[in-house]
Amino acid sequence: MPFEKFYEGSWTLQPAIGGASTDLNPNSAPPVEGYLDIHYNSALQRYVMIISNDTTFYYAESVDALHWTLPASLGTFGPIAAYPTAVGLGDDPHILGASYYVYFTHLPADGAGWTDGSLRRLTFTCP
Amino acid sequence: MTGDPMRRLPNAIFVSACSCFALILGFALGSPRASAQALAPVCHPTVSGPVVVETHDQIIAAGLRAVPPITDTGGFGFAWPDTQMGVIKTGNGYEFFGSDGGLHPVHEWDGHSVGNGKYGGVVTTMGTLDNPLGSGDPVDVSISPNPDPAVNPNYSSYGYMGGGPVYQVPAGMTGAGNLLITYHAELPNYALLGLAESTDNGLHWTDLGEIIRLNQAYMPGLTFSEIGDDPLVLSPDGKFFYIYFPDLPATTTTTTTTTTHASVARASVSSLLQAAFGSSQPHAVPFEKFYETSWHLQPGIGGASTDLLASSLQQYSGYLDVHYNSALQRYVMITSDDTNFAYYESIDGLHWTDAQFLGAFGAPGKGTGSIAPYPYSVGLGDDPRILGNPFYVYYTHLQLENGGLPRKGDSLRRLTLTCP
Repeated sequence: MPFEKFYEGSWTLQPAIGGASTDLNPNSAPPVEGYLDIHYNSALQRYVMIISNDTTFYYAESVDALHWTLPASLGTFGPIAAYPTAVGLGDDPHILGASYYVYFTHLPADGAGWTDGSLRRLTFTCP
Repeated sequence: MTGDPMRRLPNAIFVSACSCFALILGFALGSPRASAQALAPVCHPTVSGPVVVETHDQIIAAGLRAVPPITDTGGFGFAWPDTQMGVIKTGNGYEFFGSDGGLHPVHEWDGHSVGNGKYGGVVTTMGTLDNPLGSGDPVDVSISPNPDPAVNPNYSSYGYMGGGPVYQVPAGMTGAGNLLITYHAELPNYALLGLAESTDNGLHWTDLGEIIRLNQAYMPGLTFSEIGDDPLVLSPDGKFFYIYFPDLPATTTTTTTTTTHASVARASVSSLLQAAFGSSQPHAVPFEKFYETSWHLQPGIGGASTDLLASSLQQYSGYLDVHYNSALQRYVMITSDDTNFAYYESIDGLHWTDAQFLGAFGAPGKGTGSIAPYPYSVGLGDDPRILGNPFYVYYTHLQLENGGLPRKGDSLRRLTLTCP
């Protein structure tokens, strides 16, 4: 079945394949972009977005998954720190809680392939 | 979506046909030939003078007989045919399918709800090749949404939805006897193609979803770029449906630059018929655009495409109509840029001859003349989709009237093409 991109307030204009889309977080300064990982957090009753631009991780929240807080920096974890994946610690790993893990692939040198690559994990906690 | 009513005519004509197609023609004439090895034509057709097969008065009279009765047409009247047509042969004559470009408000008729609130629809008439409207009552119905809204989430956003060219499923195949129609749909200033099905000979049409969008994504403020309403054509091996259309390359501006002269996309025949007629949840399957010799890179919805006529010595753009001609054992393409008609041949549906100019059948002048859109070729044998020698080309002839409504002076006209 076709997916639809969200575009200027509408879900019924732009096909996911080839359609245009609205930037849900256009006001971050400096611009934040990269790998996105989004899960619902039952402890916060909000969606949580983890962003990796390959080196620095950022964090944003949303009530409706469309309107997001400005991304806040979480720190730098690379040379290359890609593919962030948040995992909940409860019965459903898709649902996050007050404390959860973020896995990512760590590569010590850009352009050197997977030499000395490792899977790493952060623990996020909402105090 | 804006609240502005959208309609193919007259706005689409003024913007897309008279401006866009004429601009492309004027721009492309004399452009250098990219290849010196174009296929040689086997036919240099002679063209009859245009014959009026349905006059304005006959069209108006048919509209008064239409069922469900046309009500508030948004000022257009019975705007038929507002797309290229479809034709199938029946035991008693011929059945014709084409869009009524007028508004089809939702209302109650004969105990049930009709209309979809959009311009355009599918009109089915029983007639002859000399009188497509016949003497019966035209069935003028809207394309209904798919029962599963996930099949086409954009249905509610279309201001126009109508067709068009019909493929009747042959005996022995999934859905035998049923009809597939290519429909033309519009967002504000943005045209696309979809498929709908009928299992009751055109009394009802159900949306199967979009199959072709321009490479340029929809955005507000675009200059309208016509995509036509084009028939499904079997590939040389019979395994795929081909569909031809002008494509608009993606740009970051809202001003139309230039479309391809002819692009093509395909989908598996067996997969499409199974999805449309063999599934409890009818739907279309993805088409793929032909791009730089590959069918496996660019989706029909939003992908890029190769211009199949880029190297033609004379270049015409506009509405495309492609059919197989059994007498020539070649595909034949007729194009109309609203004024000039051109003829091409192909063995494989991908490599085409240079254009042969057929004549000018419209004279738009400065917006007060006439235009000749929606060419549709019809064979004279048992299957009207297969051409022979000679064959007919129908088209709509419209007086521009400075946008005057309802379509004063319109007519359905016909040419006869013969290979001497």
